[in-house]
Amino acid sequence: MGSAYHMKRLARIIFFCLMGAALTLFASATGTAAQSGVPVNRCQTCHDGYLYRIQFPQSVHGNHGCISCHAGIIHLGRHMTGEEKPALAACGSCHGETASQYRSNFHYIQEDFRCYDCHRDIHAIKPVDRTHFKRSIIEKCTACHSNEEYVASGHSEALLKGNEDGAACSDCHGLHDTQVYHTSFEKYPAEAREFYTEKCKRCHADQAMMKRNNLSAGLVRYYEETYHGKVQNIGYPSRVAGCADCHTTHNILPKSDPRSSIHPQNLMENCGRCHSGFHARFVDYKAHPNYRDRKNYPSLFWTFVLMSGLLAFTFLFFWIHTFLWWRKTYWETHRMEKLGIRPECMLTPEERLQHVQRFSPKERIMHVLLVLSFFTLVMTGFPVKYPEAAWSGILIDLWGGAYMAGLVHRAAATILIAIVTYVGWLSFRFLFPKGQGIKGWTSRLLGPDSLFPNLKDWEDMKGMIRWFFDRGEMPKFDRWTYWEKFDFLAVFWGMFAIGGSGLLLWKPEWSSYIVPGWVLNIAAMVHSEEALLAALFIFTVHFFNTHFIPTKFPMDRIIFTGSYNMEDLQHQRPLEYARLVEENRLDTLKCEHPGIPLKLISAAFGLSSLLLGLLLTFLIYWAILS
Amino acid sequence: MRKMVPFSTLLAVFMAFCYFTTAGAEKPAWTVIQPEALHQMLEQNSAFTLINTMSTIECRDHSIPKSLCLPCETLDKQIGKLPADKQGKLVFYCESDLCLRSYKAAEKALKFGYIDVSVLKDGLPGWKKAGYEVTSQERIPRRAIPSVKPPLLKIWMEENKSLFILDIRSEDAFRDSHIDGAVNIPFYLLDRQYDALPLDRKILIVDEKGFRSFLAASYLARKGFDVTRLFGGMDKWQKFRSNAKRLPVKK
Repeated sequence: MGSAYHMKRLARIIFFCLMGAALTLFASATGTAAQSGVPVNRCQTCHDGYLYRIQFPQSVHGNHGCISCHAGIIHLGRHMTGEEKPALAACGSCHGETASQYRSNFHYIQEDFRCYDCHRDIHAIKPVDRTHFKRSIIEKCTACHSNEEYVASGHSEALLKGNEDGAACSDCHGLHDTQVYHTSFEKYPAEAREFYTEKCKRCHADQAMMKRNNLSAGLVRYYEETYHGKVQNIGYPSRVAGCADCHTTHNILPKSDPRSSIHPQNLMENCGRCHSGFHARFVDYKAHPNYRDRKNYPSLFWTFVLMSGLLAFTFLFFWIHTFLWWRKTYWETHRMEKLGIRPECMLTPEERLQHVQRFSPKERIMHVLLVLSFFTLVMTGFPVKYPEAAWSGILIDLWGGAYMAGLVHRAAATILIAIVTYVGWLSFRFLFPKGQGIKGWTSRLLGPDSLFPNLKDWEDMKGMIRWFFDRGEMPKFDRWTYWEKFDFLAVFWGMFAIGGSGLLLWKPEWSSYIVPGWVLNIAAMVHSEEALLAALFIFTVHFFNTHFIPTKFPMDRIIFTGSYNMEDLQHQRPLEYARLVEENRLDTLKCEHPGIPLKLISAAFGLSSLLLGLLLTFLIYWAILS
Repeated sequence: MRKMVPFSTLLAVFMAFCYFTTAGAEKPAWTVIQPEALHQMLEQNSAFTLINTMSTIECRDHSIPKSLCLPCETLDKQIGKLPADKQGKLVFYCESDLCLRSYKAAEKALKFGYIDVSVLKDGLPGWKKAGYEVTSQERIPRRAIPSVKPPLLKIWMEENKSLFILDIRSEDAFRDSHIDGAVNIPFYLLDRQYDALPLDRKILIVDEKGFRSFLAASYLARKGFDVTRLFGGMDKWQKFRSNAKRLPVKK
């Protein structure tokens, strides 16, 4: 009995509990229903201004209820007594992409601007007027950023006249993603320069847009061909001028306007922002010249023609020469191998193996230094010459950046200049030896020990060409062949062209005391083109003539070991051999056979240099062709 | 002698290494905390105190959740607001990645005997850049406050334009240097002293770097003052002044 009573009571308790739970659930359900269902007209009983009653329904959000944005109101009564406040409008729940862009916006990061702080008329906002889109942006930004400079600029003038190509604030600064790096704080100079230069290029490299606005579409390309542009493109913008550094940011005006930063009167100040200690002539430098334009840049145009001609002629001659030589030697070696002919030699076996010195230790050391400095110069300079090549960034990073590469380039140049100066001194001493003075210098200059070309070289060259075509014997050479003399003298010409221009560009501000700024444009072009000539000549002509020719393949170690055996001397330089015998000087030149360490080091250094040269040739061709 | 050279270089390198490591250890006893680590601590409800070292106006406008508003300048007087337990962790932050306020506050806390003191890396902007939310107790509606750049201010000053220059930087910074004729009310005192400002003139607000003047201007505009602000703050003004002197003579 008692248990039945208890059962009944328990069932009743459970029933009431369940009822209670169901009621609570129902109440909360109606609560949420009330939340999503507070109709606009209920809100408007209190919020009954013109804005909410008339303008909001006509706005772009007019078909949304109030609580689509103002979430968090569950109970109207509690809201009316001020106990419940709506949460901040979460515009991002619909405008997700814009909201995620806005997360990096300067206004949000620094000043905690929310959407409605710019879109103030949010309750009356109309669809975007695409025809006057940029103008509305300017109106919005200038509410705070009263930028008189921009209003006076060419961009703004075009835009306000109805040309939608003109740049509005957002074209450079971004619309919802206005970046935090602000040039005015100078905290992110590299990022800011890269960011803003990119923005300028986006329009100014647009052929169609520039054409319809009667502006030069090539300016970006011409800028990229200058030192400023090249170093920027290689990824080191912090130390070179981007567009805004010279043209300023907002006050962008044509050259003819006296307020413009590039007006001739303002150029000293303009360049002076980065450069210091220069002569007034410095500002004659052309920041983005078109060297293809003969009318406006005649000096650059003719320099380009001259340099291109020099390159074309040199390579045309020497590549054909090398190819014919290789062909002849290969065929000749093949013939002799097939017939079992060995080159005849009049020497006794002991004499044949006797080594004769060709290069003194001093000359060999100089060549090693020359090789090292040359490779360093090529590897620090060519990334800047071809900044857009896939390998240039990697190479410049190896040096620790463009600035370090520049220092290393100058250090290597100093070594090279020192070597050439020393060789100049040796040549002078050769012509005017101590004790003999000026007497007989012409015979020394044109004599067989001289590296100066003479009539015999001309005959030798003709003889070689006849030999290439099987029309005669190979000429007999004395101490220096004509191609060796060319190699030697080319270094002097190269030093005049590349060293001279390099010295001018070393410290352009000081150079302006000697030459006007436009000469620096020419110097830059000569330096760059001559570098290409030098590098390709060494890697394709010198390497092939001296090392890759079938009789010496893969390399001739003589420049490092210094001596060769008498058979080689007699075979390669028959006239020199005869002369040495005749003058009884042969014995003085006889030396020991080089040891294994020297041979090994020579081979390792020589072969790695050759391989590195071939690799660099490949990289240069890659850059030129891509 | 020749063998001595590498040995002595090695010794020099070793000594330099010792010097730098010890010097590094002596430096700040407070640590830098990344936004991600702070967020994790907040998520896990770890026991620590997060202190916003900006002015109360800024702190109430928006700050990291669960922040205590304690302006750096008043930390000495209000030290009682910090937990009594000196072992407890403190994290300070301020309004920009360039401001020194949180570092100063951290130094002060160390002097008061707190042991576990940290500074939030890059301050409030760093927190936002990491993608975390802020809360606000009393948001100041943003106004469209026009700004003035240094060249225009110079012209205004030369024209003797009727202008009240309000410098909201700290007393120390103001003492070091300020624009001629400027009056100093530090931002942390602005909510108590704004009624001393004139209503009949335009007020130009000057801060350190141009980050804080906007909110101060919005605050004062709401109170009915005619305000504008110096773009880029005192930094930009001084740079402009030194540039004006340095510029080469025109051709």
